[in-house]
Amino acid sequence: MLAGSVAAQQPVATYTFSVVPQYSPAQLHREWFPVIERISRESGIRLELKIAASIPKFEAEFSRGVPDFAYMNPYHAVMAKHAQGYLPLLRDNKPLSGILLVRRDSAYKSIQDLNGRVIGFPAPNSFGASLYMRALLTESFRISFEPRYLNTHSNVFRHVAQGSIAAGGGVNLTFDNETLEIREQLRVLYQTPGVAAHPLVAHPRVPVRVRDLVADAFMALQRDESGRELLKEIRTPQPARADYRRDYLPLELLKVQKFVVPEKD
Amino acid sequence: MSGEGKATGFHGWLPRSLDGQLILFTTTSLVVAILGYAAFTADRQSQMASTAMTAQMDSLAKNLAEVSAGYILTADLTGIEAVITRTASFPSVVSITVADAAGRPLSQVINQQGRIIPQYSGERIVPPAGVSDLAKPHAEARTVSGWHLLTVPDETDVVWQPVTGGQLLGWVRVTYSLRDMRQSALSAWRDAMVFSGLAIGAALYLLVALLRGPMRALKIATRFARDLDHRLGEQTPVASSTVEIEALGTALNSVSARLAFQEQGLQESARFTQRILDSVVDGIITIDRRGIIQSFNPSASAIFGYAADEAVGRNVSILMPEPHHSQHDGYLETYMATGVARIIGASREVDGRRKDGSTFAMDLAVSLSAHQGQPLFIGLVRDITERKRIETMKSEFVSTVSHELRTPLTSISAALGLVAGGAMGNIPPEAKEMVHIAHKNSLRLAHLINDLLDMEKLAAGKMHFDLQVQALMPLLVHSLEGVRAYGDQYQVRFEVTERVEGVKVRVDGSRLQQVLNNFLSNAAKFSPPGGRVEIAAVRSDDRVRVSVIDHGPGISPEFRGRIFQKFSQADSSDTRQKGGTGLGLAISKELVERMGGAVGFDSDAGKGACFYFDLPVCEDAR
Repeated sequence: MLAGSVAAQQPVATYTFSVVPQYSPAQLHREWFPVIERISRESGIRLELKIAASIPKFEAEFSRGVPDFAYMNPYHAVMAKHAQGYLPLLRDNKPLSGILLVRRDSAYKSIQDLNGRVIGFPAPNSFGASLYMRALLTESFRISFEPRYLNTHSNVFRHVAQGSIAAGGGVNLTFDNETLEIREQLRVLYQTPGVAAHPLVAHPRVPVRVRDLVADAFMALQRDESGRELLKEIRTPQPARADYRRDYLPLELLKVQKFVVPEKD
Repeated sequence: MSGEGKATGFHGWLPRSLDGQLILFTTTSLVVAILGYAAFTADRQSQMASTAMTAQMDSLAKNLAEVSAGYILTADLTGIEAVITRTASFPSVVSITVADAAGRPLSQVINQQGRIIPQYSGERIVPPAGVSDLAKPHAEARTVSGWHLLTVPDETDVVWQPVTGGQLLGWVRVTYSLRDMRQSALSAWRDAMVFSGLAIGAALYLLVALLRGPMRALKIATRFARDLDHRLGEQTPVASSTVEIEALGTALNSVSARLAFQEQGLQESARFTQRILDSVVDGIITIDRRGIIQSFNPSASAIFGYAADEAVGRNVSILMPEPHHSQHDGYLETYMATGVARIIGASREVDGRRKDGSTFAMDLAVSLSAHQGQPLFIGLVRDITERKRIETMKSEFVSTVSHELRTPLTSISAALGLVAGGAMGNIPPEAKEMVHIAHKNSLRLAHLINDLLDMEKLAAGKMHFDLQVQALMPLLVHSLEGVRAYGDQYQVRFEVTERVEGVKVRVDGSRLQQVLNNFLSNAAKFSPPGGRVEIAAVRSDDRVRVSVIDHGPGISPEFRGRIFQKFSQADSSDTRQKGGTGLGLAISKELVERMGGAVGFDSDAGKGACFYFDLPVCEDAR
């Protein structure tokens, strides 16, 4: 941020780009680094990839307005907007749905069967997988359950498969991205209504010209094969322009606020 | 003997040729040595591979346990899966399972031909019981070992590693395949065998290449040695590749040259001997034990009129007149059977028969030799026809001369006797002495001529014997009467010491008296004056011996051998000293032998002599 403001006058300004650590830092770095590098090259804007050690840390950082650009989950977009005025630039065209998974061979046929059971979630504030899901399970289906936070979507899927938890929350995009072996072990018990996918947001201090250059470069990735490959890797195969009012403002109306678990970083 | 039998049995398995044996022994040694070494090396490599493998798997399990501890505590199955997925791609790993302390699998992956597949439906696993040291990997009864790998095709081993963090948190189970290890062990064995095969092949090839030259040279040398007898002096090419073969070739060449030289010498020597045989004057004939002529020299051809090739191969009897012609085979058979020889070892006069059938006198000396283990008779033949003719002429001449001399000598002696006896009246004393000497010498001369005539008659076989059976003693007494006057002349007394009354012999009385006169007059002549001559007749079985014993000087040893030969006297001076012709004893011997008896003597020099004759006693006339 300071670097960014100073960079405005400097010919070699560097903007930080943070990614929500839904997966292991190494995996995220491997997936995102080539994307950031290409966008930097094509936009002429120097970007620096920053991956937080954990989701709480990530949340803490964007709450303080540390990253210039950030890729985050939908409810983070709401949180970031309120905290620092981060603005969504892009999102995937495909809506995000939360899913509730059980073992394929388990006896759970309905959500009510999960009453009183242990249900795993990646993190308390993951929107589709956790926050929205927990709100729906509690408010709409009226079941009680013991949540267990297992950091990542993959870990939730594996715990369900391993049998240490009765069910697990995830999102359609991450589940589709899983290996066939794990998917074969699991069954979707419930799917939430679709919401706008993960947005790329920018801090309001980032000049509009820079925001546009970065957003254009991101959009331009769809035009060639290698770009499309890169987009697929970061689970955003079809980026589209985002609009807070249209895409994320409705989330504020879902009243999931009370399910947010403030976590220490 | 039994050892020899074993050796024969063992050698029965061996190739007969030297190079075959060398190759067999070398190959066997090489195969044993190289295969042994290869097996040892391959086994060691297998052991090392299995040791490395187990160490690697132990270490792998241990590392996984270390890493997994954190993930188990944070329930991060993704982290565990990521770690074991990476680890499972290690070669030989079949599956990896991380379980909680109760054995419930937290994450499990299998390695399916390089593809790592996570498993989510794992059964509860049962960790090994009684693992006391949680820090050490625990291997289930390991099957990994060098030789075992070759016999167990697709086996797996399992390593357990407890995950700890102040307490037992879980288990890591690594299952790994022995196939790769087996493959590497097999390939170690295969490489070792291939190398062994190549090494053995190369060694064999070198051996064969090395042996080819010397063995060929040896065969050439052997062939050369085998044919050497008719290739004397030739040289074989000497192969210089091997010291021993070169030495053999050189030695063979040297032998060939030396043998050729010796052969030449032998041929020279044989030619030399042959030339001598060819040019010798006497005939030389050799016959085998059956009488077949083996050789016939040129002189024999000249003597008998047969060419050598006519005579050789025929029986020697063709050279003999009858009866020997028919009886010769019998002589040989008798000799071969009994060893009694007729003429072998002596020389005698026999008759020979020429090719034209004429006979002739020859001297034959036969000696016995041996050739190639068979008796060989060598006959030396000399034609004595000419010598016989001259001898006959000489005898006839002497006889003629003696007869011609005796007639006038008888008249001269008789006339001198009359004159000396005074029948012609008194003659002057000076002339009387001369006449007496002339008369005495004419008597000696007559005696000498009589002896010569007797000798010639005996030699020519013309002496007539009037054999009559008669008593011996009267003949003896009569003889003593005859020589008494002679004894007086030498002052010697005759005395009969032993007698055999009534014994008769078949003799010519006058010839026996001639013998006795001879013995007695000799004894008187050689007795000292006043000496005594004893006459003894003794019978012994069917023979009677008459001995005349004197006490004179005896007979010197050097004279004994020729005492009965003609014209022999002990001392040449004796003839004039003692008188006599030197023919007396020779005539006596001939006479006694013609009458079936034998003569002999005993003498000690200086102590006198005893002359005797033996005659067969005539029993029928008694």
